[in-house]
Amino acid sequence: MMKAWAEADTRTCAIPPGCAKGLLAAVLVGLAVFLPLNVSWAQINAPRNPKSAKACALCHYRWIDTFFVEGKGTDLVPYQSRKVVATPEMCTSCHDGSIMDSRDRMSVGRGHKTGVAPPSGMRIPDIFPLDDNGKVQCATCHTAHGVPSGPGAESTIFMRTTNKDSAMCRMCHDDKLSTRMDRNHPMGKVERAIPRKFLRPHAAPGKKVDKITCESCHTAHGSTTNAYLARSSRDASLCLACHTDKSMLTPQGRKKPGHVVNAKPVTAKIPATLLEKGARVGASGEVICGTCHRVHGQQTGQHLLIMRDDQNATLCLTCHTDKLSLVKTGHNLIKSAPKAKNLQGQTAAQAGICSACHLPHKPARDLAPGGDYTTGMCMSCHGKERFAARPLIFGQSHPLDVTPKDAAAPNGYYSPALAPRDQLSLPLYDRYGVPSRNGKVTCATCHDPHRLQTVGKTTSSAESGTAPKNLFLRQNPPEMCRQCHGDKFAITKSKHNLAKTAPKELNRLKQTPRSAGICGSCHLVHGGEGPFLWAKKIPSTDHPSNPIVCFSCHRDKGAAAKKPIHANSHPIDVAPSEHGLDTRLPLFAPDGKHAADGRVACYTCHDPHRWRSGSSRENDDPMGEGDAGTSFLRISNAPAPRLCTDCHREQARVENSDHDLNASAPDVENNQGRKPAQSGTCSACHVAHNGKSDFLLWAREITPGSDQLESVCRSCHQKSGPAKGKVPEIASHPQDITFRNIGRNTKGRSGYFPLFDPAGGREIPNGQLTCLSCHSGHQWRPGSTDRAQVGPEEGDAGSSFLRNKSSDTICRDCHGRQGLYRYLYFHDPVYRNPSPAEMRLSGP
Amino acid sequence: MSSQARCNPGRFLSQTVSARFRAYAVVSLAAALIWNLPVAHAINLVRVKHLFDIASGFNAPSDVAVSKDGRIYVVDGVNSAIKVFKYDGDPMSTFGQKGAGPGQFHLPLGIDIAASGKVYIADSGNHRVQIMNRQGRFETEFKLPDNKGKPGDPTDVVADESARRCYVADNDNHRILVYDLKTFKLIDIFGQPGTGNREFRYPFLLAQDKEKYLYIVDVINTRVQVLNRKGLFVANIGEWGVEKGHFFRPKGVALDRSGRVFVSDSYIGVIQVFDQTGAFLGAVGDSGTKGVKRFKTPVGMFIDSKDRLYVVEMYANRVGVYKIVR
Repeated sequence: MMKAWAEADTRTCAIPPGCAKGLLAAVLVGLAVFLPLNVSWAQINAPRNPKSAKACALCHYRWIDTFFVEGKGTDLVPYQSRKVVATPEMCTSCHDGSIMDSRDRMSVGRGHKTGVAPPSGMRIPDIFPLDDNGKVQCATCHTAHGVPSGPGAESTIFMRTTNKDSAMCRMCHDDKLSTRMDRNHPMGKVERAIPRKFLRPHAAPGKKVDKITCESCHTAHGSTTNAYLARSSRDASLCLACHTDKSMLTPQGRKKPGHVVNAKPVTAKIPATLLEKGARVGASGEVICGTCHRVHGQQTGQHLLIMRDDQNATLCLTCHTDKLSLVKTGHNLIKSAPKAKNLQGQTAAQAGICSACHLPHKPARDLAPGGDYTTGMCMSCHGKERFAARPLIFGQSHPLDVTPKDAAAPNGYYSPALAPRDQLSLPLYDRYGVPSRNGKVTCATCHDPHRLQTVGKTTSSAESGTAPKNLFLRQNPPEMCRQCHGDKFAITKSKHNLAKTAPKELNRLKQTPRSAGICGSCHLVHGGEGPFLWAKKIPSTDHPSNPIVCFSCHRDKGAAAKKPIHANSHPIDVAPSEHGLDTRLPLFAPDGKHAADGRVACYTCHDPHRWRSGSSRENDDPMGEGDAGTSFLRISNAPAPRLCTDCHREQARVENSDHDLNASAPDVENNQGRKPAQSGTCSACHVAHNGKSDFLLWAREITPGSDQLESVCRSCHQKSGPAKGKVPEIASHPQDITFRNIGRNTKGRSGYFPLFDPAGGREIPNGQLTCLSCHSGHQWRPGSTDRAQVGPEEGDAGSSFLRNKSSDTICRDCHGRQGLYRYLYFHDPVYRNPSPAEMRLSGP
Repeated sequence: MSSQARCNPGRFLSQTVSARFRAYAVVSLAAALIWNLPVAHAINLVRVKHLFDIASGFNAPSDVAVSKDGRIYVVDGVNSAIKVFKYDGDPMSTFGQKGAGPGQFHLPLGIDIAASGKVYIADSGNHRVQIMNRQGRFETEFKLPDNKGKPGDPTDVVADESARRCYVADNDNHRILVYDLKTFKLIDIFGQPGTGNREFRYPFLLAQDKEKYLYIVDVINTRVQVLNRKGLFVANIGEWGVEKGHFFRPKGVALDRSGRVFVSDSYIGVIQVFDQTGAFLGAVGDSGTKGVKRFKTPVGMFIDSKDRLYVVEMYANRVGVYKIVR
């Protein structure tokens, strides 16, 4: 097989005329007689036709007469016995730019191996001589006497034979022959032309750019990467240069369905067994084309796959071992839907269990329109009129395409979900189905379609009432819910844990709290009703456009029948802005979603998941009677009335004044039997729910007066009331006079004296003078935003809850110069009608 | 243009020495073989003292030049860059990258620094000469013309600002191109393909002496051909062979301040020294072995005014800096 080096070299050397054959013969005879046998040059296989002419000896260095004929070295160089014509040093002595510049191909990176013996089993044709030691040298492929044939434009590369369409390469590397299509990348004519951009600088096509040769991917010289490739195979770019349809991205940069490449495995693990079979990975362990495919020498005869992919998806599951559990689930369509076909028209039995949903380089299913990729995948089977339709999910379901950390209301008063991304163990996905920490919630966030049973221990407890079922869920609820809604779990030991307070209460799915789980008692991820995926029937109310889920229980005969919400309660379904108010408390749209321009709902003031506001404790005497600091209030309303005053800010000035019964009458109970310390400052006079009167939601027994507002005031300012020291003998203006209040009916302006409807108590332009015309009720000192200090301060014309500190009163509008006198002595039956002398004192 | 061979003293000397030596060698070899005696050789050695090597991530460097202010410029060919070093060999800067734009290179080979400090680079792969300022900022370029369809192949350049001439070795076209340094117009062509005087087979690196004689390494003709400033033949230095004064692969040429001509031979790895008539003076010696110093693929050389010899060893990827001992 292997021929002596010299034989090949003499193939084209003619016997030179005038060659010093006589001298050579004489020297050889002399050598035979005198030379010790171990003289090195005597062992040389002499060429048959050495020629010392410069044209030959330019490369055949040892043919120079000095060496070969005279058998010696010179003062300049040592004797040359070894054949060096084919050494890299000889080749580069010309290819260094002085004759040809092949530096970038010969000196950079790696070229075809030289100085090594061919691998055992490789048959080297006789035409390609190895050196004396049986090793490959430059001259194995090249000879100055060769044919001008190369694979590309540069044709004169002195090959020993034509390399047209890689013919020469294949003479040695016959195991890479394209005729063995089942084992090697196809060669020859292909449908698509090799991209010209890829052909530079080293790759070369066959005769035409649509013809694949060895040099399409490899370059014998000048490769800067492995396997003499034109580009590194440690990423997918080499393959994707031609196989553009296998790219993860569209030309517009959008993700295409298909197996990722050039990415590190996240959930999968490439096992050593696969690597032993020849699988390759990227420089940092990334999945590349070579992880599944082997361009040369693969044995499977199946898409050049490194191992045969079968019905059981052995190749896929070699790395995706975490998906093995799919086999025993309903998502193994071989069992559950044997007739279902993917977009390739293949059943799962034909193409493997993974192929029902995934194909490595193209979509397997007709994705349901809209939504993200993973959701589209799920709905391609479970959607309407699909073969695995799930009616339960056709209604309301947990929102998708949302982040687990929603924007909170100002001051963090409210947020549906507040999951720190770095602590979230559930996966989020980008719109193309790629797990991403910055992704959004999809079906696959909660469901693992490959696993029917969750891993690890469940956290079932009597208190939380863990649901035992697992519908491909990644975790058991409610622990899975806790991942995003952890702040809601303060509910566990509160009265709203129905497993404790209403264990027989059924949700829409007829589940008891214990079977539904603590979350499922009130919310259904799929199939809920109205706002908040409500798990119960929402009773009709006066607000059909804004259903209030609380009334499901807080009604007569409801689960919370002891705490029903009746009439004379704080209004809901109103927009604070329509009443000149604004608030940092959450407002809600009819669908239950937080909306800055929404309306007041129960959940504006209440956080149904937390018994005591701001408390991190899940248990704070949850079964006891609530007060203004508990009762699921979103903000504590006692001792400071922070909750009410978040909307009613002007009324906040009542705090610490004589009208703050916490300070002035702490033992006085309201009509619900609560002292100010329990009810809070505001609820000492106004109750939010179930008041006895809808007028101001007044919390006290109303004492008859000349008008409704006076009646309200008299409930305290009477001899038996808590303000018995401040009982005016007269507190009303003659009722038979109707005023036209012009210029004094603008709230916020000086001289504001509102008039009221004596029957309804509402402020009207042409009404009656009553208590609140002069008094504000919530502000001890007019014009001051400071809250009054508790103390025995006696009022005067500059305080006393008066609206104005001015002689410009409404009294003057009618009474002229008597007006001030009448204003100052309004409550004094004697002095309120001044004598003419007093009139003179009061001035004009 | 006409050529005129004035003399060829070097060739005559070499032939004479070669014939004499050949006879001597046969006798001495026979004696050595019969009596197993060492063969005696005699060669004058030009002593040099190794100062330091510069090896800075080169990839097949080819030529070196040193400016008057002591900056060492090395053509780092495959890296398509010019690397600049301080006089003590410390790295200073790099300019150029692979490409065909201004200030970019593709397999540059030769370099020359004009008296003004401008840097002339034979940007071989881009078929052009680029001129940069001493900091390496691009100033201008001129492209070599094709010759019967064969692109120009500049392998080295010599800038003679006082004569407004720039000489460029057009390697593949076997000729020397002469440009006007102000207009960058081609004004003359020296030589043609061939083996005679004023003919070339792959002219490669160049040098110019104080008298403005141009020294052209004629690689396949295995000689250094000397032309005057008008392109007329003056002399040949060296000839084919492996004896003293012979070349196998001559590559670089440089002259010291006394006019001695140093010629590198990349394959046999020696640097031989001649006088300006081509007479062999000796070879650069190895102070350690007391014999001929062996370089690894010596190519471009430069000798500065302080008798420093710079030798680019292409496949050793280094530049050796030596002091010529007088």
